[in-house]
Amino acid sequence: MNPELRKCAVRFVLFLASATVMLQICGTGTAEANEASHVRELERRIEENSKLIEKLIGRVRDLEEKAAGGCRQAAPVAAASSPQAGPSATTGEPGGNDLTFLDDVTWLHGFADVGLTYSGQRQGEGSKRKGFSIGALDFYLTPQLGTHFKSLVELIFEVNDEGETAAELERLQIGYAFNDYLTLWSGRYHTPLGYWNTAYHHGKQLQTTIQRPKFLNFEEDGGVIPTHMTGLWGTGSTRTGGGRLGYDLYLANGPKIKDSGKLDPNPFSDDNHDLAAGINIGYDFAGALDGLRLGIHALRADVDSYNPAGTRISRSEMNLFGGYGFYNSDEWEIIGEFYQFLNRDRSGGSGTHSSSLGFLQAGRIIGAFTPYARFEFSSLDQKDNYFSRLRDGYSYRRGLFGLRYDLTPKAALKLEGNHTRITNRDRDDYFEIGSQFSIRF
Amino acid sequence: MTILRSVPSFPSVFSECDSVNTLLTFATIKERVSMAARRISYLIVLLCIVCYCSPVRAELVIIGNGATVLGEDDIFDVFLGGKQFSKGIRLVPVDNAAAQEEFLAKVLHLNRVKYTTHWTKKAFRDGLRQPLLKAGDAETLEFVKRTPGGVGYVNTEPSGVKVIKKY
Repeated sequence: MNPELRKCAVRFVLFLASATVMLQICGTGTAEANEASHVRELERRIEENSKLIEKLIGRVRDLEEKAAGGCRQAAPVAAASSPQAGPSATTGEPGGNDLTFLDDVTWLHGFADVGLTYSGQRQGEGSKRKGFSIGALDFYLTPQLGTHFKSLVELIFEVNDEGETAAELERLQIGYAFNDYLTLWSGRYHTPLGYWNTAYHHGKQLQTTIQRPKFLNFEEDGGVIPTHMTGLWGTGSTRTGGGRLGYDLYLANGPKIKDSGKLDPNPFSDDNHDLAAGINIGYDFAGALDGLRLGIHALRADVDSYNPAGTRISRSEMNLFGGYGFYNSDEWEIIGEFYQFLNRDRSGGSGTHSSSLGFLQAGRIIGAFTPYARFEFSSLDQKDNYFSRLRDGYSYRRGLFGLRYDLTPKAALKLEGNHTRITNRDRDDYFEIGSQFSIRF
Repeated sequence: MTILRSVPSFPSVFSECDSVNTLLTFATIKERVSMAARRISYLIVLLCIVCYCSPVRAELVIIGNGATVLGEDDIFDVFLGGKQFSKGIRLVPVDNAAAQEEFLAKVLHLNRVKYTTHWTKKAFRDGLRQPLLKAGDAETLEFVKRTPGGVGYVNTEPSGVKVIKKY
């Protein structure tokens, strides 16, 4: 054989070998790298197709059954056969007249909880309470009435101290969203004060702890801050400086103090025809401070108190302002709120009275466990008609600690203890322990 | 020839070589070898292109209905309920179950639990609704196509919708 030819052939074979290796590297390398994901992708597609086929079979069966029955026409059948509008659904108009997208979302949600409690409290409602209990069953609905109209309805069933079940229309809001900057609600709503009241309220599964801060209790439970309002509420937000700035502005019936010493949010009518007005401004940070919200809030209202005969016995101009902070990360949840009252006596000559309340709570998230602690206080001037007329308008200190365990994202088990010291009026000093199983759906 | 015959593993390219007789000149063989090498190169390039364009390598594509006007920076707000309108049109975000995990991690930097909890709070406070959940790319694409204000995400190259951003 010609040596040149042999040499060329050897080079050629070497080239072929290297090409083969390249092919292997390129082909099998890529294939190996993508084989697993390719297989997963194919499996996913097969699964999707299987579901689609099942859905189509079901739909054909429905159509066949209804055609055989001859009792319905094709259009309603198509509409009713699936919660998801099919491709033949109306082609929406940019104006937003196509509302089919509103039909296929579950809009009924709720919370429920049961618990076990022991209280060493010697005075007042709930004193010496012990044993098992059911908490509340809370339903909330968010029916969408159009592209701009929306509503929010919350109905709650609770067992009172007498063991009787009571139903309450907790919220009834009908709103119109003009744009991102303004949604105007009317009806009964949670007072936009601080973070806790609107974020958690009756959603016990959402809040880390079992108990709310004592001074933020609901009106019927002896709370000293109005947690519900009936009136108008404008809210909106805009992105600015990398974060998001949100606001709440509201006008509502101011509360009154009933002869029982409890606040009444006046959901039916305003007793003194003097509207309450409030504001809440919060900023959600982004970037390095992502998860942090800081805000300020204020509320003004004239609050009258009444004796059992329904006669007004005092009037206070309630001026409340303060600030709050909330931080949430993968490891920490921290909440702090502060409220300062500067109430003016408008029925006597006792002048202006200063009172303050607040709490700071921190929880460390360790997987499904969240150990937490909270300190709360209220320092309330007993010469202020507003607090002296309220049954629970006394000063106190409370230290609280507990452990939360998230069984699933929608179910939590909590164990909690607290020590409370009432520092004026009927002095008391007691421990409470409790556990709670709470769910959301 | 013995050497050439001992390389039968590329029959498509070199089958012709089998018929080469001993009278072939060195130049002819060299030319054919060169041609074969070129073909192999083309084959390699072609394979590379096919591998690169394979759907398995698809990226995450954020899509919007043709009537939707959205910037890249709005996606975060739309899927967390902070932005509900665009040029007077109500936005309708839709989740794609097949790509949701990737979307949450890449775009929102959240896991599924935190995302759901965020929406529970949003619904409870503001009366908003969590985005619809579609099974896969086809359903998501179909929904976005027919819904003014529709915004979604898919893993395949979409058609008939507006591409807002690719990840």
